[in-house]
Amino acid sequence: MSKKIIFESSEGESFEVDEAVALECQTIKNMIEDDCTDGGIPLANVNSATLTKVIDYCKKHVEAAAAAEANAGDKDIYGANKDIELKTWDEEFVKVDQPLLFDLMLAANFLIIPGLLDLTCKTMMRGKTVLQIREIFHIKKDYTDAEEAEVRKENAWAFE
Amino acid sequence: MAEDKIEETVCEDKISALPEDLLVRILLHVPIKDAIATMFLSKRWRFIWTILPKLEYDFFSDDDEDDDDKVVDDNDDEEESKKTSWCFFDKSMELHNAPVLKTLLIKLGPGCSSDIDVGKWIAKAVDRRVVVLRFKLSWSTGPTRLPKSLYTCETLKELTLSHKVLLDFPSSSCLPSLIFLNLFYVVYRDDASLESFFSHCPVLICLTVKRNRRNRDDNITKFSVKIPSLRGLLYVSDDIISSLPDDDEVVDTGKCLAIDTPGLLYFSITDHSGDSCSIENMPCLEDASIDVKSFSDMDKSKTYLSAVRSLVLHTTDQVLLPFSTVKFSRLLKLRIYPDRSDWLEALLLLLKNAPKLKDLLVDYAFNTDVIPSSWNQPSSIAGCLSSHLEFFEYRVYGGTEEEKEFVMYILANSKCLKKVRISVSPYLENQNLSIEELRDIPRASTFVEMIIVFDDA
Repeated sequence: MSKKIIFESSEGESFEVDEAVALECQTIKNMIEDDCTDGGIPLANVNSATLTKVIDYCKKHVEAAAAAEANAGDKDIYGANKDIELKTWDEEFVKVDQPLLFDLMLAANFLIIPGLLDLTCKTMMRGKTVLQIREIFHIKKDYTDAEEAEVRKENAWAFE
Repeated sequence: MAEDKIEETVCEDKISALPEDLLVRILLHVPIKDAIATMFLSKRWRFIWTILPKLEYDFFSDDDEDDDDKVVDDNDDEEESKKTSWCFFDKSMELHNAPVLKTLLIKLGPGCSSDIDVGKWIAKAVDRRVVVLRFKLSWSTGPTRLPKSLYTCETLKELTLSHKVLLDFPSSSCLPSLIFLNLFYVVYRDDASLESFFSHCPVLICLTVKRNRRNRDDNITKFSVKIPSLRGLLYVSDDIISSLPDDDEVVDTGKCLAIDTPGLLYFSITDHSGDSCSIENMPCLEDASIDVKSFSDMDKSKTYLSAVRSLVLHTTDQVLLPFSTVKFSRLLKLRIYPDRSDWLEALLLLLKNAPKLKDLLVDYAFNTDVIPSSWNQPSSIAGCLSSHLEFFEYRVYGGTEEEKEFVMYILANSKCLKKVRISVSPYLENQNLSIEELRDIPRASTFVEMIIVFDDA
């Protein structure tokens, strides 16, 4: 029976996970090593919806790593399909709305889950024009007209 | 009032409030043009792009890609867009201001103007402690020299140089951290300079060389790879020699490849140039892939190759036959790509000399000529079949009598076989009948997972 770790979301909801899954988070790994996980780990800045997704991600990647190890011997005869499968899974995983994606990125940054941080950062602005980025993220232009004109003049090389 | 509040939180600009390192992380995944254009968003974004630790420029249009002999039409539109690209590259490199530029990737296509001074920016990257540098230049002007400081860069771990680059290694230079080196179709000052280059990469682990011997600027006579630290070597000379009257005839080009790598574990060579190839030293070899006409010293080469655990052979008779007499005492995995050779006989001999073979693949896809192989029932059964062979794969099964006999021989005698996969050639007249036949072949092992598919290649 593997050891369990209890996470507590910002809403106070408890999530029990296998230690192996929790170890995917570098921050938690350090806590486990320092033996300060008894009585659960409160995650005041991660809400339940985000935490559920984060746990899904960690679980999947722990399983995939275990499966890859088990199949290492006869990988060649059928080709390395596992990597592709995991990539496809990741792609599906981040098909979420912008606020959740944002929270996932922050959670991955806080918990230090390099794979998830990379995945969410990659998805954040991918395939979007500057105009779309401004709209989606509500970025307000704080240049004065004169400033903007100057920036544009100085950097005319940056547009086609 | 309450409604206003909600409106405000929904429209909050959360992204601009992120710490700089996260913004950098996000922009690292955005193509450079878009990343730079974020400077127009707001003051917060004005200089974020200038601290990106990675810059990637790709001025190849889709149809330029990897087409080396392409002639480019110079029309005005293209001229104009070229100028813009050049200006973009120049200006952004100039304004880029990160203390460390870890990765710089530059691809300049055939349309690139000859007054581009890339050297300046490569020197800047060296100053900014570059770790990964990939530079591909395909202009119509001759090969260019790179700044001398590149060859003394202490931080550089991975270097890729492609096409119109003249590798002129200054004596007394050294690349103390270089681990990966890729040289694709570049030219060299001379034999001595190349040798000196290799000998001044003390921790080089992996070397990939691609050459095209039709390239008249490639003036190397002896391509000498003498690198004690090297673990992996991939060498490709991918010119298709059409001038050879008969492909089986080895024409002496007067040029050679000499490999002296005492620590080499992985070795792959594809060379149809006619240059001679000699293996001076590779006692630790584990994994080899061989696609050459012959080795200049077959006995020596055989000694080093005989210790491998994994072997890939693209074979013509000249190579396969001598190999069939080598004792491969450690060989676990064998892949054979028969090409215009009477390979069956030699393969059967090879199997007898590979007592521990576990994994066998025969891929007929590259066979350009159909020369019927002969089948003579072997007088004794190869040892690996009765005790070791677990995986057998046969690609592009053509259904000839000889092939069928061969598959029957393997299935009937392999007692430990676990998985068999056979893909049937799409040109086979009666695929269904062949599949039936294959299914009905008697097998020595009772626990075989048998997969038969149509080849989709």
